[in-house]
Formats: sequence, structure tokens, C-alpha cells
Amino acid sequence: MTVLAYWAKRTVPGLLKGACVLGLVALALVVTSVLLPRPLFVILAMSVGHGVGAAALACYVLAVILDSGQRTRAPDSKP
Amino acid sequence: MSRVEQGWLGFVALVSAAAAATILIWYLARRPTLGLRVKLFLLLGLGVLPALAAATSTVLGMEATTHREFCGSCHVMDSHFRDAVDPAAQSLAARHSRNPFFGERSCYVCHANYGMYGYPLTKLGGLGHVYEYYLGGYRQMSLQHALEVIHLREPYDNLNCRQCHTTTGSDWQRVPDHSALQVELASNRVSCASEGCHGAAHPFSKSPALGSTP
Repeated sequence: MTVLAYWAKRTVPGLLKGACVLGLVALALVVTSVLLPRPLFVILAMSVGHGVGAAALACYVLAVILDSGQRTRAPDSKP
Repeated sequence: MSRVEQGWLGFVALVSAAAAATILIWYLARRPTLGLRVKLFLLLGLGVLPALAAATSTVLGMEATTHREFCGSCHVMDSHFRDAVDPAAQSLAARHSRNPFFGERSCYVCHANYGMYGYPLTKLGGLGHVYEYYLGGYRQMSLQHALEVIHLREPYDNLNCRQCHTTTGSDWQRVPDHSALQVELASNRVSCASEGCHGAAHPFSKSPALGSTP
């Protein structure tokens, strides 16, 4: 197993966990702005909420790429 | 946007957010093996459904920012809000607020920028107000102090009045003061809401020294 594959194997679960937590934070901000349309909540949802949501999606995409790379390399790394 | 449309958008935003949250909590609780099915589920929970919730909530949020209640939700706007909703008030703002065309959006209709980039410029201006409220000290001000020190950043543009009062109708041109001041009105050197003309839109917020600034 190469260092990269080892790193990917260790990182993917953490990235997905982080993506889920960030996603939940973003969704909470969005829901708050819908239920309580006050200036601060609306602006937070449209700025921080969208940013955190995009970060969550980026973590997910990175995890999927790392996982796919790991699966592609796996047959070669077997003895 | 009608209240029914807003209701539907809110429903879509909340349902898609709830569905996305369910998927994310399910993943965090179960931690299933990352197969194709789980990846697709997570794509739904982190991509598709949140994007739907974000899009609908953004439309709703933008719509909310045009409502009078939104502007009146900061205490420094209390007097303006109370005057606008008072059926007996006779200020320029109150009379316009009773007009169904302005209705619940009267602050926005009169204060929005109507230039080519009017919408984003108006929203940027609104962000400036929120900044001033939370970080610029407006939040700590008493209402009386706020009325004395908070003013429009730029003189009110007559172009906003002319969105409705085109100044081309014969009734408008028949008024001697209108025809005499046509150039000054077009160049904003004289405000429609001056003392001696139509009066300040929010007269309670004017000290005698400020007089004609709307």
C-alpha cells in the first residue's frame, strides 16, 4: 500500500463525516432563515450557509475522488 | 410574489432540507460501507437536496428583504414603520404605503435603486445597513438618538418618484412650480420631497436644521 493510498483510506471517512456535519450546519442556517426571515438570519443563510454547504459538497467530492483512486489502485497493490 | 407562492417555496425549502438532514444523520449514525448506493445517497443529501433548499430559501430571503416588516425589524426604524402602517398618518410615506401598488413593500419600492444595476446595488446598500446595525453602533442607539444621527447616505433620487410620476403628464406639467423647476428636478438639485413642495417623506425624523432632506 502506497503512502497516498494509506492516506486516502484514513482520510475518506473523516472527510465524509466532516461533509455531513458541515451539511447539517448549512441546512440549519437555511431553515432558520425560512422560519425567521430577520436580516441577520437571511444574510447568514445566504453567505455563511451557502459557503458551508459548498464546503460540505467539496469534502464529499474529494472523498469520492480519493475513494475511487484507492479502488483503482487496489488490484495493483496486491501481491 | 403572492403569499401562496411564498408558502410553496417555503414548503419546498423545508421539506428538501429535512430530507437532506435525514440522509446525513442516517450516514453519521450508521456509517455504512462507501458503495455506489451510499455515494448516490450522500450526493442527494449533500448536493441535490441542499441545492434545492438553498435556491428556494434564497428566493424567499430576497423576497423577505423587500417587505416593510423586514425593514421595520430593526428598532431604529420603529418610527418609520409605525408611521407607514398608521391608517391616520398623513406623511408622504404613509400615504404612499396605503397605495396598493406599494402596499407591504413600500420601503423597497421607494428606496430601491432603479438603475441598470439597481437590484444588486440595492442589496449591497442593505448589507451596509445590516453592517451598521450590528457592527456600526446602530443597535445600541436609542430611537431618539437614531432619528438624530442616521440619515440617507446620498440625497434621495427624484428618479425613484418618477418611476410612477413620470413628469410627462399634462396634469403634472400644468402645475407652474413643476414646469419652472423641471431642470432642477431632473438633476436632483431640488427634491420632490422638499419643504414647500411635497414635504419630507418622514417628517418626524427631520430636525428643523435638516428640513428639506427626505
